[in-house]
Amino acid sequence: MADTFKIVGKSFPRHESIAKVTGQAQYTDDLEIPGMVYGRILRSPYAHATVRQIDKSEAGKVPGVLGILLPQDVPNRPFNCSGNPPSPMLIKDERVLTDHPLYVGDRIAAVAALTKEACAEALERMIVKYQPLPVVLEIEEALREGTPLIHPELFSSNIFKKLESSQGDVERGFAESDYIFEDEFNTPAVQHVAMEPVSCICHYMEDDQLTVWSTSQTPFQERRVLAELLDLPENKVRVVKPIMGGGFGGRQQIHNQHVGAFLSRLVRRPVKIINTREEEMYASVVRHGSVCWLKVGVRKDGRLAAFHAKVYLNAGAYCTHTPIVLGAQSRKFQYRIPHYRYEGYGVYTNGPIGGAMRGYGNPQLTFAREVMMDRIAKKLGIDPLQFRVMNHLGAGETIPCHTFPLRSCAITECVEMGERIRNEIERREASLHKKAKVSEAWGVAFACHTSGPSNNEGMSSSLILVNDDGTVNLLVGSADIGQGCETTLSQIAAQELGIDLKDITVTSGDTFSTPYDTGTFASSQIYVAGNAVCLAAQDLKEKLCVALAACYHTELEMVRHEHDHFMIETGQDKKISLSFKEGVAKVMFGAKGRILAGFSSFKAEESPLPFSVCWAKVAVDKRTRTFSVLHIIQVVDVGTAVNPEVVKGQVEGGISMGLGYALMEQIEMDQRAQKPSSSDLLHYKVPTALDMPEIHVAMARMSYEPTGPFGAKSVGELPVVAVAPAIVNALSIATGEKINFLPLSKVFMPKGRSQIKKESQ
Amino acid sequence: MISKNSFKYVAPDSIEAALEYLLTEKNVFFLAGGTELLPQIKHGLMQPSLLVDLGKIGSLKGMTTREEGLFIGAMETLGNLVKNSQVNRYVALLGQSALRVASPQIRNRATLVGNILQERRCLYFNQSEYWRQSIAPCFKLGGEVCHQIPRSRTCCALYYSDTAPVLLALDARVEQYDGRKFKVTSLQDILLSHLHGEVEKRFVTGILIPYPGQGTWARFIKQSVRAAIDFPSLNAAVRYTPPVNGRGPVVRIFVGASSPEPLELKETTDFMMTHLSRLSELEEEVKARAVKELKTKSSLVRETGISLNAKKSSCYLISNILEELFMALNSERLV
Amino acid sequence: MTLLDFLRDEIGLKGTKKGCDSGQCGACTIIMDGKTINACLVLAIQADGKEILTIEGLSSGGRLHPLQETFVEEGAVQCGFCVPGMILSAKALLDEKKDPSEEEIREALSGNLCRCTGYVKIIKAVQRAAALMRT
Repeated sequence: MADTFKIVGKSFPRHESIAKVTGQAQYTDDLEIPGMVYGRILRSPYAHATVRQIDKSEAGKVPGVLGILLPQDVPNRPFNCSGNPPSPMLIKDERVLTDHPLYVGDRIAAVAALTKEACAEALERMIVKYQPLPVVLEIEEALREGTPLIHPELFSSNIFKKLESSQGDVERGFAESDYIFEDEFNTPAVQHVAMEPVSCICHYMEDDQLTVWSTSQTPFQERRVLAELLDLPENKVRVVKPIMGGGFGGRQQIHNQHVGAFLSRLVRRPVKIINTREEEMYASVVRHGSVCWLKVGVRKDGRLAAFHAKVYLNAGAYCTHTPIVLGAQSRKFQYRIPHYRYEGYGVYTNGPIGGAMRGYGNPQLTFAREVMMDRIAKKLGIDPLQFRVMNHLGAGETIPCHTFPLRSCAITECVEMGERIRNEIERREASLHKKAKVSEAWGVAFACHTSGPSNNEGMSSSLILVNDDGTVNLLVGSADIGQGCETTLSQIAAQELGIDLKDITVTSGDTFSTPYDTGTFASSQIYVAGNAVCLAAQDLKEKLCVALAACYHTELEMVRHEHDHFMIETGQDKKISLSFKEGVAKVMFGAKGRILAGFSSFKAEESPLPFSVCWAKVAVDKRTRTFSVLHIIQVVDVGTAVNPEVVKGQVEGGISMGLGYALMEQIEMDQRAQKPSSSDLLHYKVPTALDMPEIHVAMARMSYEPTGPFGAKSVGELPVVAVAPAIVNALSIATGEKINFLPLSKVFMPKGRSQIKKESQ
Repeated sequence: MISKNSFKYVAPDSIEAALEYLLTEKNVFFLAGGTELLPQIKHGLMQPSLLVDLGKIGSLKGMTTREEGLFIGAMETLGNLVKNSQVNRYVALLGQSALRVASPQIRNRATLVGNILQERRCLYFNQSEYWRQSIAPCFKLGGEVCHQIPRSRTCCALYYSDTAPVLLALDARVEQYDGRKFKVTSLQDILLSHLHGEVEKRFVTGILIPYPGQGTWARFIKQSVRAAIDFPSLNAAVRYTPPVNGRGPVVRIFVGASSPEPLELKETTDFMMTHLSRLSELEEEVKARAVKELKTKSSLVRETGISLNAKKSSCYLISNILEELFMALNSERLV
Repeated sequence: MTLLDFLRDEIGLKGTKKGCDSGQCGACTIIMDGKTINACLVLAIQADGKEILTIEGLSSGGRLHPLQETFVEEGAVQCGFCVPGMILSAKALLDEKKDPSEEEIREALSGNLCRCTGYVKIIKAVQRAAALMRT
């Protein structure tokens, strides 16, 4: 499908790469604003405490300190920090600064000083007297009778949200089942570990205007929340997103920007606050840890009959995203199922804040589901791939709880492509292990995700300004967080307008100059922003047609855009063909001159699902319990791949994140210290280049999503989801053991493929 | 963070001058590679008043073949060891273990001596000042408690050096300078005093590794959650030197990351030595003894990244190495 | 003051990044006297008299180093934060070995974390740069 397009479907290098490889790209901490000073936040070292007393006098005497904020110096009204469109579901339970910290890292006070050293010293000299209080860290604990409530002022239970979603009647479904499977699964909290820490510079100017440069996935939501907190109208708040070093959902919320804004208002200088890696690890945001209880009913012939899931998510101390995560989680069941019931529970604890992370609830439940699917297939004696395929929904059918049917689904093509790759691997690779006590096995898992928010709240807009030489400036509110959407959106614009990619310059993520976009989350860029860009380009073409018609004194119906050219039929049987640039040159200046711009507003009414199939091959020494992941294959259906290498890059990166989730990542809570011990990148382990298996990525070619720009669906989050269950399924087969949890390092010892290779020589 | 006022800094160009600082100034730390010390300073774990940078002392660098063995200067980096032809020729195992330490960047600064004399590590100790604020200071920090084992009267932190088991298996010795002369002691003695907190002002000037005998068989393994940048969850060095000229064979097994000091599986090696004549028939027995001895002598504590259960299963790795040794013995490559 | 802070704050060379300040991520990798180091683990004063290469110094006269070219062309650059350190680690390898194996490349890059790419296109970029540099 993609072969028919000139620009969409081609792997153009990203436009900002040269700046990045030469060190010229400016990330937030690289920016220096005149008069800039530094800020640091004093955070609670206790997971739960009250602050009895704060003495800031000594801190204030440190040379270079300009101002100190205490809880009484900032508004006390609670808010919700998440970068989502406003919703009553988003409970406002958090404060800018608090004297009753509810998790390790909760913000107590803040300092602004001329130098980073002065900030650090001032923090050390702040005398804070805490009264530690009982701490609740785990879901089970939080749900137990008699456990203290985290937010007694809001709820009479630590469950602050219950979300139910169903179709059919699961009890009837189980009654009609020949086999019933039931089990409970656990996944840990994990951290995004984007290489760039959360960073912001906040400048509150004399005329009550606030400018914030921040690592933001959602500049427009940040603007809204900050405007509310500072009692400013939105036109006086500007949020700018510089080049960003990753996000993965972690920047889909406000972290320090409010504190920075208040500090700046206090000291009347721009204030830069950069998180330390320790603050990133447990005082910013994590993926919700989960407990998933599943009950699945199936018929003898292999058809699924009923699915009942109860999922408890550890939200930590504040609500932030949780209700939306539950909703998103409920809408990812990709198999035919007459009876489906999802119950999701958001649970408060004094743990790190569970928020948005790549996959947004999907990895936890899909892990449980896909491990279960393998057990069912085994019991029924059906090949695990075939079992899934026979139950999988197809185009025209509807995912439980979705409002629209699938319009594209290339799952069988994905399976075929992956199986070809797998057979090729098996053909060329003799067993890496000559030792008898090492067993090898392949495991498989399916996943789906979304293109844009599955609650259909995604909105985007785009403005295309035409320059007098016929090049264009593309303005999008959508924030490129490193995934390359500035380039892919430019490709969409170029394709639609019929111009070269080099004739487009893109600006993104500045609330003063780029039009509204709900945010870079829920894999929105290609689908939501891409559709907006397409519409803006169409709008521009229509306007150019109108202008050309006026210019040539002909009817509008006589002007058409075909094959990248504007065809004008003047009277006298004359047909004129103009390129975009020639058309612009014709109409822009002169007596009837006009300035051209294209604009769009796009509200996503559907959120088409991309799909993936993932295989993993593992080798395990059962005696020493060491294992290695040798190969991962992932084939994705993303409709048209606007930029195939960008898509592949997303899949490859998603695989490494999924691998970490499966093998070694966990935010660990230490019971004795009553706080997370995963405070740095040594305690918390993400895969290095030596830990990676051999990776094989492919994309289905026959898929076309009719509601997507040029048939495209999004890919951003999808590739993380199926990896962990594929690995666990493989390990289960190789060891014969049931595995209900992540990470595998809890009972097994991971070993990089390079090590195995070295040792087998 | 390290600011301009954190400490004074000097970089002498002679051993004598460096030792002078150590003996006369208060709260002096030697700065070798800095890859352990700087993070400790940033975390507020070490608070030197004076840092003496050894980097300009030329005589601490270099490797020489002495009569008694290969001498490695105190400031030789792990990165140099990996590539060095003399190391590869005489003590290749050392280069292999050095290669498994941390990352290339760290190996380019970290010294062998620094790796051996590293501080024992613990999830309650290796944390920032901010993190440790909410718990009582432990023994290492002048406090009176061990957070791992509250009943304990001493620090239970584990010792994680990757090069130490190899050097111990090779009977390495440590050269020190005391102001008047250079003195050579066994590595085992130095480690014992270093690891049990004896505060002795020592100036280690190098490591001397006796040439292993002809036909020496040696293996090093390191098990860690990740293949790079990680401390071991278990490491071990096994060395067998066949008998020669009336001198009996030498067998050594050292295991690290399992206790506050590197463990010598002496009972197992003693057993092997007393049953030399029929050693090749006793493979299963030796392996079982080694695992049992390791389990008995281990004193595990909680660690991040790996559960106690997973860690306990790792002990069977020693069995794997011994299996390789027996294969070599039985193939009569070592007679 | 560490060499990293000195480069970024005193000299104003922002290309070298601070990812963890503890030597655990490699984002601050630079080349000092021909060897890669973590600039956050070296005091500024220790660099006195030494030759330092940061990412800004890699291209010359407007021409990109082959590694910079291949990183761009192979799509090895996503968010880019790890890239300056990653490229310098690769450069140090290629300065020493003209034809490294895949394992040797992974070993040379093992101290540089990347969260975006899974390292796949990075390895490919290094291999292609090595090939370009051999011709």
